[in-house]
Amino acid sequence: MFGSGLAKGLRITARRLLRRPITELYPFEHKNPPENSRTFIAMHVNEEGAPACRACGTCILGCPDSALHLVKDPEDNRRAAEFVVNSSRCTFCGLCVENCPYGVLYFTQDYERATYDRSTLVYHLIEEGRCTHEGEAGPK
Amino acid sequence: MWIRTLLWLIGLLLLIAVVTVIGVWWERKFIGHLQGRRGPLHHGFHGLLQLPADMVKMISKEDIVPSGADRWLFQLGPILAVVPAVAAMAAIAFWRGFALLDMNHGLFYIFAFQTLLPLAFAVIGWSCASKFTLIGALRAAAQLISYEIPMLLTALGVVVVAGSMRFTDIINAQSGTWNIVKEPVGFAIFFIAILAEMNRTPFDLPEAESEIVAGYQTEYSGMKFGFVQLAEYSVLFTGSYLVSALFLGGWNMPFLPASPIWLLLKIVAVMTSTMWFRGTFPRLRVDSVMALSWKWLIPIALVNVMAVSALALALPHIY
Amino acid sequence: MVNFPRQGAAGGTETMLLNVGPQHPSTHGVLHIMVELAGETVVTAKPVIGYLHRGIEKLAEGRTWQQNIALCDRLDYVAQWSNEWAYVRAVERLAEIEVPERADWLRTLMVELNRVTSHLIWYAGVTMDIGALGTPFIYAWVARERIFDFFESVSGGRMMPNWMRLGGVRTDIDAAALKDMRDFLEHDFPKEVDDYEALLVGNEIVVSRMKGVGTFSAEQLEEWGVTGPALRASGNDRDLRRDDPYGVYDKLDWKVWTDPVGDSLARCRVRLGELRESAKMCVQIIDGMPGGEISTKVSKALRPPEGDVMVRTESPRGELGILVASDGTTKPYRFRVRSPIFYNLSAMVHMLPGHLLADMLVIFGGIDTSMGEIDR
Repeated sequence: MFGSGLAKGLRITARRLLRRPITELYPFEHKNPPENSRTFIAMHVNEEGAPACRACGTCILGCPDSALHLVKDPEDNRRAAEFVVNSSRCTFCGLCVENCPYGVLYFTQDYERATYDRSTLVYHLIEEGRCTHEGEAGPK
Repeated sequence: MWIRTLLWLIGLLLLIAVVTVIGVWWERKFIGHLQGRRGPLHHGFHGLLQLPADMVKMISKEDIVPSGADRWLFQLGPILAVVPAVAAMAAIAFWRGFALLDMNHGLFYIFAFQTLLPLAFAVIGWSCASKFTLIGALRAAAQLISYEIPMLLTALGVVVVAGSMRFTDIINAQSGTWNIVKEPVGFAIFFIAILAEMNRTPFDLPEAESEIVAGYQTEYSGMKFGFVQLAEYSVLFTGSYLVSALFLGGWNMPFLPASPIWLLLKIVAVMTSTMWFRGTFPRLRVDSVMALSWKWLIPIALVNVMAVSALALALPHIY
Repeated sequence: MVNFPRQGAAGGTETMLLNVGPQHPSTHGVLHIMVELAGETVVTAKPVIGYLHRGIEKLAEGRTWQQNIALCDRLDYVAQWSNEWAYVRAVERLAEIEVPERADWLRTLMVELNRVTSHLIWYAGVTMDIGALGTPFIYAWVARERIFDFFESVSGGRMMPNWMRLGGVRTDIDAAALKDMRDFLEHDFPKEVDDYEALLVGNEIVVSRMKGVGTFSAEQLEEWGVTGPALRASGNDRDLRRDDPYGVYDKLDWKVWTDPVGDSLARCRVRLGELRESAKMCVQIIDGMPGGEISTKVSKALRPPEGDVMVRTESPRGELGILVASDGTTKPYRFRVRSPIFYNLSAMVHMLPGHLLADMLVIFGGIDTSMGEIDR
């Protein structure tokens, strides 16, 4: 009968009316991304608290967007003096984390770094040989 | 005497403001929940202050006049839309004899002012020198004019049954049974026609958002847009009132004492059902709209009028 | 610059030039069509593309073979896994890399899930175009979110997975997640698709808007090289998954959806049918998934032998072809994409004159454009 399709459509939307809304109230109900989620990266520290990076540069070779910059320690070829991440160029592809042969880089669960100041998008993971943030102990 | 008129006028203007604010809020919440989301939530209690915030925003916006626009008609357009919509509300009877102008041709008065709306849309669409608005305006004018005819014809059936065009008389004549029982076909046609007159989905081509980006209102910013929204919600209120008064028994309720609360509830129910349609149905194409009116609604409405008149003559105790 | 004749019909009326897009709520992506209208009828239509050109084919020449996988995601950003698979298959064929069996099954699973999400996006878009304010859009989005959460737990990215690798896939999927998705696809999803169907093709208003609109015959479409659901809706049942099988399609029990009529309603029906079929295929794949390795070891600085390979896959929009040419170094020499939507769009825009303006958007809904692939 003409109109039965319309009535069915009305019934479908009325049924949805009676259910709970599916939206999440984002800033008030924070949602954690899954474990594998590719977010901003950070660096592991070893037992002494020094960064675990061996300054091999494989991550830099893997990055398609030239977002990483490494400066080796002039005294010790296997330590890094500076490790800079330019997250304005990063596309969060995860090749740096995947390619690191020592498993030193990892994804934090942090995806909320929107900022008004572009200079904060370029940040150091290692500055003057020291880890700049509370890195997790690792690599796992 | 003039104090009564003044109080009534202030009351009507307040009513329109309240109807727009509450109407837009209710629409956004209702359609939101239909879609599984919440609508405005944070400003005020469940978003009640969202509309006043929008009003403040609209008032504070820059009034842009497109460079090729006809300045005088551009400024005149929203006024042409609001004035008939608001003036039509003067004949609305909320209780027996309680209206600003309880004329003995109240129904005719409302329809007369509704007929001015296509002119307003055509002026608005033409005055903004833009192709989108022109398309929207012509569609609006064509649609509104086509759907007045079935609306008038079915209302004529109601007048035949009630014997008068005064709203109080029409509603009093339904104290036994509502007109929807006496003229179901008439109700269906009137409801479809009034949906088209109010530019609501599935007939909202004039502001077909996904095709022509807000149609005839595209060029309006700030308070002009606010005015057009005001006109739209006034027409929605008036149209819902017409459906409630002409077919749903107005302030009467079976087995319960009559009171204006029932009228208000029926108006809200009709408005909510138009919002329900808006959330569910896509819109019709312009030639389908015309075809529906001219090829289907008008012939059925004519037959309906004749049938109702015949029944009114044959069965005067029921009709 | 395009020259439009200003004289209309013999009655002396002028035609009106309307620019639909590039900023428009209905053209999916930045598509610009210059339409000449006589009243509401389209007289001529000329598409102007290139607003989303990013030089992907040239960028690919500056990145290594492994890095290009992340770039391929961004071609048709709605059907990302199909693009990755086409590229990865091409390079594997060039460098003669064997892929373990489980990797093949995993890849097919994710690509079929991607077909589901891609068709859900199509559904959301088409219902928005015809004016259903947003209700079917949000219903489709809810299902898509569920699948996107699965995507994120598998590959780390909701939209840009970067998951397939030369020689296999990057991460494995654990059995609990697979079972969860299987339950969703088998029990909840078919009921949702019933709702989608009722809101689109079961609705009389939609039928009146789409029936008989944009009827194209299979011969007309084949002339232009149209493939995918748009062609299958005109009666030609060309489907690369069956005709030229890859992955594990030949081990599954599925059917190709066609419709003989060829109008917009037929295109909607075909896509909704494919939506159901892909969900069923995913259930079969999860049931039949073998164990084993997920990837063979391939050097990150791979140097394939010289030569070129062209590989075709059935993306949700049609036949996607990727050609890679190697000159023996770590970076491609040439990367060329045969984009299915490019041909679909050209064909349909060419056959647009004579339709109404409102029909134009219905026809575009049937093409299901994704500008990232047209412009690259």
